[in-house]
Amino acid sequence: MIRNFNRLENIDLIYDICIMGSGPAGITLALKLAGKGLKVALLEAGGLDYSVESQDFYKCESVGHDAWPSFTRLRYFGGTSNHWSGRCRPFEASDFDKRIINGLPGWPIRYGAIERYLEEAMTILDLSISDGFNPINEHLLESNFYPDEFSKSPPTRFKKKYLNEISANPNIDCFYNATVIDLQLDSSHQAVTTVTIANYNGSHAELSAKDFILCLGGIENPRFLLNCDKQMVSGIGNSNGMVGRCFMEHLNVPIGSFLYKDPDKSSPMQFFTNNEFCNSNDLGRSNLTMSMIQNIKSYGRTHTIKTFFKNIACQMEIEDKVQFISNFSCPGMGTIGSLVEQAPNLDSRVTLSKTKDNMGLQRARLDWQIAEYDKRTIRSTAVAMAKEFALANLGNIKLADFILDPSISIKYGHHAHHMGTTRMSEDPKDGVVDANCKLHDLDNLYIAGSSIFSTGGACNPTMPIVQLSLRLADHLAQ
Amino acid sequence: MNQSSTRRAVIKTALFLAATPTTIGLKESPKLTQKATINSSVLLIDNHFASVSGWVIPIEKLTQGEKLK
Repeated sequence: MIRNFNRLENIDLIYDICIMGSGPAGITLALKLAGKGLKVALLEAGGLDYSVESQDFYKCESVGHDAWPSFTRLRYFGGTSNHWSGRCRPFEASDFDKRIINGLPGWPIRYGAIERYLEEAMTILDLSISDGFNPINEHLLESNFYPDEFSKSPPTRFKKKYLNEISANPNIDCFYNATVIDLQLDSSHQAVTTVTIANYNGSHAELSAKDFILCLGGIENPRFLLNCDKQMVSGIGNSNGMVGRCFMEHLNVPIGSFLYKDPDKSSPMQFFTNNEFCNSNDLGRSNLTMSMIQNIKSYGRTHTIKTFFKNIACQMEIEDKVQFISNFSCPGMGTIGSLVEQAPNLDSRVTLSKTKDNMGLQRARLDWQIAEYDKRTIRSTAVAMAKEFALANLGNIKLADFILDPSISIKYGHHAHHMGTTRMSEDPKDGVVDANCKLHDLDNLYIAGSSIFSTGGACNPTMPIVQLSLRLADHLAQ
Repeated sequence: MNQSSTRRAVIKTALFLAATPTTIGLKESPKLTQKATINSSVLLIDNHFASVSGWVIPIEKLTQGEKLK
């Protein structure tokens, strides 16, 4: 059943499971748990469609490097799946190897714990199991890189695919326009008893459940926990000060451009750094995408004007100097994009801003920091790729000036992958949730989504989010 | 010069200026080839590779050139 929380009065809200957030994690959990016979409440703070009023709650103070946190997320049914690109790649088994980076341990679970949910996750994301994950290029470089293997979801829009199914499910009550604004703990502060829900008319209600799951996203999960400070001064789950720490993105760095030796070759290529290279050099994982420049990315009148100025810039060989105006890379060349793993870093974090939203909760304040380890990953990987490209006689790579000159600041971009802010850890001092996604501090509050990632690898996070959510559902249904 | 001639001249000039960038702009530059310039900056990366204005090139090719097929 789907219900508008703005119109509810005097209802009993008692469930087996309360799921907060209706993105890929929340919807996956709701359907799986309902299928196991549990009575589920699924709470969506936004409406069934985008609205300015709801999106305003995602306004976020951003200091440090800018990850555009106010625009990369969507606050309505289906969450950020309403605009994701669909690229899927499973984690590597080696992403779960025990290792210490920046003084922090990696995953407390092994890859096998989520590998068994791969096919189920692929079905949810409309990926062909028989086709699997495939490269777009051959093994041209043998030593430090191998062709990246991935698959493209249509992409699956969870609202479009699952709204009717949820509506028809007798075990699910989905409430939209239902913002969770607080959690109440029992007298021993060991368990959540109720959540307080507010609608846009200013009315509040309490909802009881046996277990509670936060699925609000990599920025909102810590923001909500930190805002719950009535019974726990530093916020719920934050006894070790780890809530909000270790914010990670996948670094999107334009590492350079390239020329194929064969002037007729124009196919794109994607490469992935292998284990031996990363381990022996103590680097994070990287995915490098090499694409030919076909046309300037603009249309209509501006296309002609940009092409005119681009030709002048290329003839004068000043295209690098005028990138601030537009993309003036010259035809015949290709660009090299990247998706680079960022290591967990205590100083990169979500805290609370002094400003409040319309429900009275403090807004998020994101301080995205990039450590020396990550800079070394970017520079070392880029140089290795340039050398192998030349050795393979494919052509040559022109590295960006900041790759070879450490005195020049690296140009960081992001991939809108918000990870690590309630990280999974064996020891409570290193994270927020345990290997079962349960808060170390409480008996019945769980977290799903990329905020629990201990490390981010160099794969897109949606599919691992679904895999981990399926695993959590099995755990809760036991 | 009468008024209609002036108007015609203005229109012709405007059309010429408007058409020039369009005509040039519609034609893409030919594909680039790597150019060695006198001002190229050379940086040794390791014993086997150097960077010439950012281009990463085997030192062997820099010193011996590349055999053409």
